[in-house]
Amino acid sequence: MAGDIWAALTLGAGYNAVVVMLGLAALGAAAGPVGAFMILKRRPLLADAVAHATLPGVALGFLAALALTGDGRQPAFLLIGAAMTGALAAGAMHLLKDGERIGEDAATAAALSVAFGLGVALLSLIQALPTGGQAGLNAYLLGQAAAMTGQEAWVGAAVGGGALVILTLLFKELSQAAFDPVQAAAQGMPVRMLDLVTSALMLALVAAGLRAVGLVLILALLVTPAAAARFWTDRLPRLAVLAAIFGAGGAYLGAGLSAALPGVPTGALIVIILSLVFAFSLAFAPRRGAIAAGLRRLRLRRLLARRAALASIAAGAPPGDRRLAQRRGWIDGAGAATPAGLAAAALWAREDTLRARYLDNRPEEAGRIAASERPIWELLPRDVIAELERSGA
Amino acid sequence: MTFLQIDFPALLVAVLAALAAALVGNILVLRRQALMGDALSHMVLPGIVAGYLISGSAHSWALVAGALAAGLIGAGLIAAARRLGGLDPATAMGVVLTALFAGGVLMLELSNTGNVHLDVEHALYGSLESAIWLYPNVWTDIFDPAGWAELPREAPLLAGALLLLGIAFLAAFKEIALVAFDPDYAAALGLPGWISDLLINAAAAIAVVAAFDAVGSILVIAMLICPAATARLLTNSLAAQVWASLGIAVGLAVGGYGLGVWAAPALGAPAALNAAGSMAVAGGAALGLAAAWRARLNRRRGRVLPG
Repeated sequence: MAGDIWAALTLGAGYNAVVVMLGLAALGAAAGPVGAFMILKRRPLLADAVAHATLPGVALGFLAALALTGDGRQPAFLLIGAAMTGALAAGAMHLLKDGERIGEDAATAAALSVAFGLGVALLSLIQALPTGGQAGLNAYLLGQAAAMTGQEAWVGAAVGGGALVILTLLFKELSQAAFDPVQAAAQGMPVRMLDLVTSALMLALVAAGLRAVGLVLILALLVTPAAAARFWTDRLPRLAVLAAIFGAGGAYLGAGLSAALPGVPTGALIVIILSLVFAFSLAFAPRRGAIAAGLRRLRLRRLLARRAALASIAAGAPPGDRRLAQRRGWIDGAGAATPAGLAAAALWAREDTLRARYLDNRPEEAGRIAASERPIWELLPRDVIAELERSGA
Repeated sequence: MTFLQIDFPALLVAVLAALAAALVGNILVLRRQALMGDALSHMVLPGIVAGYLISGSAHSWALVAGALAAGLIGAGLIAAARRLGGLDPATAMGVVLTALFAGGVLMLELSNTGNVHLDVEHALYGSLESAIWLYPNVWTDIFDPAGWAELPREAPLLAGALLLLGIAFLAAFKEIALVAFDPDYAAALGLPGWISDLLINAAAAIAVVAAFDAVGSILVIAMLICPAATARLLTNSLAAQVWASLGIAVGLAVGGYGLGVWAAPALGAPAALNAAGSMAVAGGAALGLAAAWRARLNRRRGRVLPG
């Protein structure tokens, strides 16, 4: 089995599997940055509504193809149908939310469930048809890349590649319009048009990814890589590239593994992999990660405790935290200050005075020096320190 | 007498599910937390599957317990992702709901136990069609307690959930109104945000879990949001909104059922449509009509410029 997995991941699982893996990697690479823009605009769950709303489109596409060609399973019909009802649902959401009584959240949830319900009702109708039933349509629900044809995978690769090209060409405009739409509009940029481009890219990726990932989980392809990338950087270009790498890697790995392990649903596997990347990023990212933030808080708390203890000693009072002061050798067993404690307290008093003087002059610098563990004379240039020493005298 | 044995139990279950969901939906719509309903209804899946794997039956209380646990764990994970990661609520929901749903799908597919009663369709579309009650032969049999034991399992579960939520609503109506319209003032009065969040999430999880069996885990959202949102558009006070949402919920359940199961075949469809799906469509129609009415009213009052 390990051999199968290795073969699949090194593109040795046969032509069809290779095309599917590369197609999905292209989709993932484009979905990452598009998702970053959706998060930036604070409506990542628009993709959820649009994705669920593709179900009636798939069913209608099936019926149309059946009526026109005699065979319902025509990928082009299904894809176009999916994109059409997805777009319709997005439009309905826009009309429904009035900002007063119905919020964006209720409009999203209503569009999502009503369109999905229509799809379910249409699928039950198709199931009752004498011609072959809904064979294969269920794959759109949860995704099954193994059942994809090479042609479907090429469509996915083309959509993903095209979206990447558009993103690269319009990156500056798109980010400006997403960050500060008012400013961008004032500069004469077609903000609504750019908004529409983002939404159209999202819609195309959702429709193209349905077959492999399924309409419930396609949301993860857009949101999770971007959310994970957010922990590693504060800059949008880096965020977009990182999200693209996460998306492409997760999709490639998931598709490869599910090609080697029959019966494992591709979409679920990809989403699990992306979720693990997210969880790892949330925990371990160096600056924004939860562990780093926790350590920072802990260090700050210790620093404040040390300062409080020294302040007490300097004032001639017994420190509140006796264990800390004793461990540091600042007080003896009876609670009296040791020479080392007095020296440390004197040093601290001098630093505290300098700190206070500096903040009197430059209150805007408070953030820079307040939380630092290093003494102030290591943070500021020597001449500034000398000035501060003089200013009190 | 097939109506009493097939249609009546399905309608009973659907009406109870719609009522329980609509009640909670009122809070979600007012607090702009409708997406929590979306997230919860997806996140219960791994719990349902786990309950099924443990009990070996698709009709066991283990499924309900598992779903409730998964819903609350999911809500906790969303809160954790928001606090630890500093994510905005919608992003945290998107990440957590897809992760848990994917976990459920993976468990479902990998545990392929040959004789799988819990298929994906059951979990997503519900099983209103399989709700039958063989006992009654004439109308009066409905009120015969001897037959109640044979009711489909969903009915007493939903009735219990509805009763619980209804009592909670009546007992805490003032607090609910406060939390819904002015959470900051509520917090100032000593009801911290996280407690009301927890209680609302628990209430929503109860409604979602009780109703998923009947209408499926995704279509629950329609029952949560459509009646309450429609009522919100038509009324001007919380009490009126809640009562209207309950009336609308009953109307949607019966109307949707009639549309899909009776009207569609009569109009030439080859078979009855999925009943839960039809109810969601009815919900969308009601919400659309109410929104159009409200928009016209606003225009006539000059509150919105035409065009």
